[in-house]
Amino acid sequence: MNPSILLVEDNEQNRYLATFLLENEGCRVVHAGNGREALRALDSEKFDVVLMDIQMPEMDGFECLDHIRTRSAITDLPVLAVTSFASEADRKKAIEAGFAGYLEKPIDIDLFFDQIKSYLPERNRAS
Amino acid sequence: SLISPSRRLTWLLMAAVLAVALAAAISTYSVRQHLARVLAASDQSAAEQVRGVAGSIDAVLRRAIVISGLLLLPLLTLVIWSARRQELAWDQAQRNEKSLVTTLRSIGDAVVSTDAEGRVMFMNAVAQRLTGWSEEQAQGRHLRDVVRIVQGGDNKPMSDLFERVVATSEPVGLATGSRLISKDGMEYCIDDSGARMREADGTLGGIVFVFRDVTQRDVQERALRASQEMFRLISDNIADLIAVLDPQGRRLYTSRSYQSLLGAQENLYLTDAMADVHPDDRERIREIFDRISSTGIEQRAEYRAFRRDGTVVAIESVGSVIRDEAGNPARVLIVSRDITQRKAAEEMIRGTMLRLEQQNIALASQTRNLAGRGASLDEIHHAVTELSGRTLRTSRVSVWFYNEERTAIRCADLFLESTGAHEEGAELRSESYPTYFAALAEGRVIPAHDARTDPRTREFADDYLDPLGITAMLDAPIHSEGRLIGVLCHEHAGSPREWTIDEQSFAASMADILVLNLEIWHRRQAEAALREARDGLEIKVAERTSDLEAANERLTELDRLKSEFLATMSHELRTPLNSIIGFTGILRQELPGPLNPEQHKQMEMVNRSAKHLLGLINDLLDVSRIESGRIEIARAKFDVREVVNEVLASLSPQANAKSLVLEAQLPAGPLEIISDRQRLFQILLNLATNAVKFTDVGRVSISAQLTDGKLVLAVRDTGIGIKPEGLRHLFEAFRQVDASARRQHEGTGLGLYLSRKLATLLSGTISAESSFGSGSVFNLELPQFPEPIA
Repeated sequence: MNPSILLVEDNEQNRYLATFLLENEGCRVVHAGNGREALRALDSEKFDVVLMDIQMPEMDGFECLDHIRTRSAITDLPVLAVTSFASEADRKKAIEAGFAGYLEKPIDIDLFFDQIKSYLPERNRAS
Repeated sequence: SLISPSRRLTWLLMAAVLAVALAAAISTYSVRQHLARVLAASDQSAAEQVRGVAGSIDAVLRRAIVISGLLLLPLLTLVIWSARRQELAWDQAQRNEKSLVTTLRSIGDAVVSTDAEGRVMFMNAVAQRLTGWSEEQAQGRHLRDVVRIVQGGDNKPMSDLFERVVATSEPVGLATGSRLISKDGMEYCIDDSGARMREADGTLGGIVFVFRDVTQRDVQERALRASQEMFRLISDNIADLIAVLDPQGRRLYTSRSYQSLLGAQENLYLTDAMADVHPDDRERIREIFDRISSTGIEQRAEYRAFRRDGTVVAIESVGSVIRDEAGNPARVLIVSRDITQRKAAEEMIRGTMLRLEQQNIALASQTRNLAGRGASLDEIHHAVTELSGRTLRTSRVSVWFYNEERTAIRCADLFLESTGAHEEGAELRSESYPTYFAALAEGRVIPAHDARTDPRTREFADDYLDPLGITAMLDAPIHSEGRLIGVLCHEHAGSPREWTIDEQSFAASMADILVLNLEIWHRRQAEAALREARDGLEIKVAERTSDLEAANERLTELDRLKSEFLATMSHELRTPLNSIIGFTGILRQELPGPLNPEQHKQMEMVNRSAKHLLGLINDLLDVSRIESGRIEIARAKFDVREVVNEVLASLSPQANAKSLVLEAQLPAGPLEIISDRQRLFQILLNLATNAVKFTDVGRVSISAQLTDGKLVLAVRDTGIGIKPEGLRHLFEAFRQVDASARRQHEGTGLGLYLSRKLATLLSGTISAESSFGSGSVFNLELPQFPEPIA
C-alpha cells in the first residue's frame, strides 16, 4: 500500500514541487492550504506522515501541531516541518514544539524523499 | 614568819589551860600528900577529919578536873574556830601581800617605800631603773639619797621629800615639772606623789613614794603647745582668712584676718559660715562644702560674700578636712582669700584682650579675606601695602617677589603714602646688592634703623636711599609653604627711626597676611580653573553619553530591524528559490521529459545561479547573526577526519569536473577535537570550495595535524595564487582578489569573511599564504580542547 502524505503548504509552486517529487516516489499526496484545512483533512482520513509549512495564513504550523497533539487518535502521527525559516534557532524551536523532523527550504530534490522515508511505517520503506 | 599569829595564840591558850590544870592537879596532889603525912602523925579524929578533908579535896579535885575539862572543851572549840578564821584571814593577807608586791614590782610606775625613819625598804624595778639604784643597794639608805628630785632650771633640790610626804595627810602629787636625777646622772621629767603608811596604832610606819617618767609626754606637750602657738600666730598674721568649721558648717575657729573681713556677729563661734556667702552662690557653696566634708577631697571655689560692712567681696576658698584619730573627717579647714582686686584686674585684662582681639580681627578681616572676596592680585597687594603703610606710618611700602631664577626681585606694588599712588615694575638684581640678598635669604625680618649705615642695606645708599631721603628700612620676608618668595619693604623718610619690636612683628604679620591672601587667591584660581574644566568636561561627557546612548539605542534598533529584515528576506527569498531550484533540478534530471543539450545547459545555469543566490542568502544570514552576537556555538567531541572526508566528498564532483586531484593528508589515528562540527565543516568547505574554484590544474589537498593542543588544518592548492596586496584584504567582506577574478569565479564575497568570523567564534585563527601564480595555503588553527565558555 502506498504511503499517504498530508502536505500542508500555502504556496502553490512549492506544493506542486513537493507533490511532484512525492508522487514520483509513489506516494499518495493530499493537500491542505493551511492548518485549519489540515485539521479537516485529518478528520476525514488517515495519513502516514504530515509535511507542514510553518508560516501559513489562518492557522500556522505550530498551532496546527498543537491541535494534532490533542487528538488521541493521531498523537503519534509524525509531523515534519518543511519551512523557509533557516536558522538553528528556528530548527530548535520547531523540534521543541513537537515536530518530528525539520526540512529546510529550498529542499534538495535528490534527498527529499529519503529524508521523509524514515518517518513512514515499516511497510512503506521498501518502496 | 611562817606561823600565823592566831595559830600562835591558840597554842598559847591551850598551853595555859593545861598549865592551870596541871598546876591545880599538882597543888591538889601536894596538899593531899601533906595531909597524908599529917594524917599519919595525927590522931584518928584528926585523921578522920583529915580524911574528910582529903576526901573533899579529892572531890574538889575531881570536880575541878571535870569542871576544867567541861570548861576547856567549848573554850578549845572556840579557840580553834577563831584560830581557823584568823588563819584563813592571814593566808588571805599573805596572798594579798604577795600579789601586792608582785603588782608593785610589775607596774609601770616607780614605787619606793620607806620605814618610819625614811630608810628605803622596797623599790620596784621601774624605780630601780629610773634611780639607777638596785633594791639591795638602796635598802637602808635614806630616801633623799636614793630618789634625787630637783626643780626648775637651776636643778634646785626639792625640800626633803620624806618630810613633805610625812607632813601631808592625804596622798598627793608633790609638784609638777620636777625632775629626777639618776645615780648615773640621767635626768627624767617625772610626775610624782607620796603617801604615809600608818601602823595599826596610828603611828607612822613609813611612806610610799610613787613617780613616773613623763619625759616623752613632756616633750610632746611642749611641741604641741609650740605648734598651737605657731598655728595661732600664723593664722592670726597671714592675709589668708582661716576658719575651722564643724561638719554642719558652723565656725569653730576663725583667724583674726577672717574676723576682720567676714562675719556679721561679734562672736562667730558656732555660727553658720554660709550666712556670709552671697545668696546667689550659697547653694553651690553648700554643695561644695558638703562634698568636702563627706568625701574628704580638697575643693576650691570662687564665690561672693558679704563683708562686715555689708559690701560684696570676691572670695576664693580652699576647703580640706581635718580628720579625727580614726581618720574620719571631723572638721573642715577653710582657707580663703579676698580676690576682689584680682578679679577686677582679670576683668580689666580680659577687656583689654578682647579689645585687642577685636582690633586684630578687624585688621585681619580687612585684609585676610581679600582673596576670599574675589580680589585681584593687584587689589591684594594694594590693600596690604596701604594698610601696612598707614599703620606703621612709613612713606613707602612695597611688595617684591623673586623671579624664577631667583636672580632678582621685582616690585609687584609700591605704595607711596604721601600721594596714595601705586607703582610697580622696578627690579633689583642680586648681583648688584649681594649683601642685601644674602641677608634676605636668611628669612628673618630686617630692621635697619639707620639704613645708610646698616651693613645689610647700605648697598642701597647711593642709588636709592639718598636720592629718596630714606633713613630707615623694615623688610619682612614673605614665605610661602616654607619657601622664601619675596619681601615686604617699609621705607621711612625723614629723621632716623628705631623700629619697635611691635612694629617688626606687625610687618611680619602683614607679610603673613599677604601670603595667606596669595595662597587663597592661587587656590581660588586653581579651583575655578578646575571647576571650569570639570564643568566643561561634565557637560561634554554628559552630552557625549546621551549622544552615545541615543546612538546606541538607534543602533540597537537598527540592528534589530536589520536582523528582522534579513530573516524575513531570507524566508521570502527561499520560498521562490525552493521552486526555482527544485524545478530546474527536476527538469535537468529530465524527469518530466528529455531536454536538448542547449536546454539542459541553460537549465543547469539557472539551477546554479539559484543555488548561488541561496548561498549568498545563507552567508548574509550567518554574518548578520555573528555580528549581532546571536549565533550559538555548539561544543562536542568529534573526529576531524570525518569532517575532512565529508568536505572532500561534497567537493569531489567539482574537482572531478576540472580533473583536479582532491586529497586528504591525515595522520594515522583519530583526530579528536571539541568544537562545533557544523561550523568547522562550514569553514573547511568554504576554504576547499575556494581552492577548487581558483585552481585549474593540479591538486587541492586538506591536511590536518595535532600539535601542542592545537589542530592545524591546511587547505593547499596549486591555483592562481594571490598577489601580496590582495592578501591584505583577503578576509574582508565583499572583497575578491580582483574584479576579473570575480567575474570569472562566482562567489558571494562573504566566504572568507564569514570563515574568519566563525574561526574566531571557535577560539581559532585563520590565515593565508600565497605566491602569486603558484598556489595558496589557507591555515585554520583551532584549540583541541578549548576553555569552557564563560
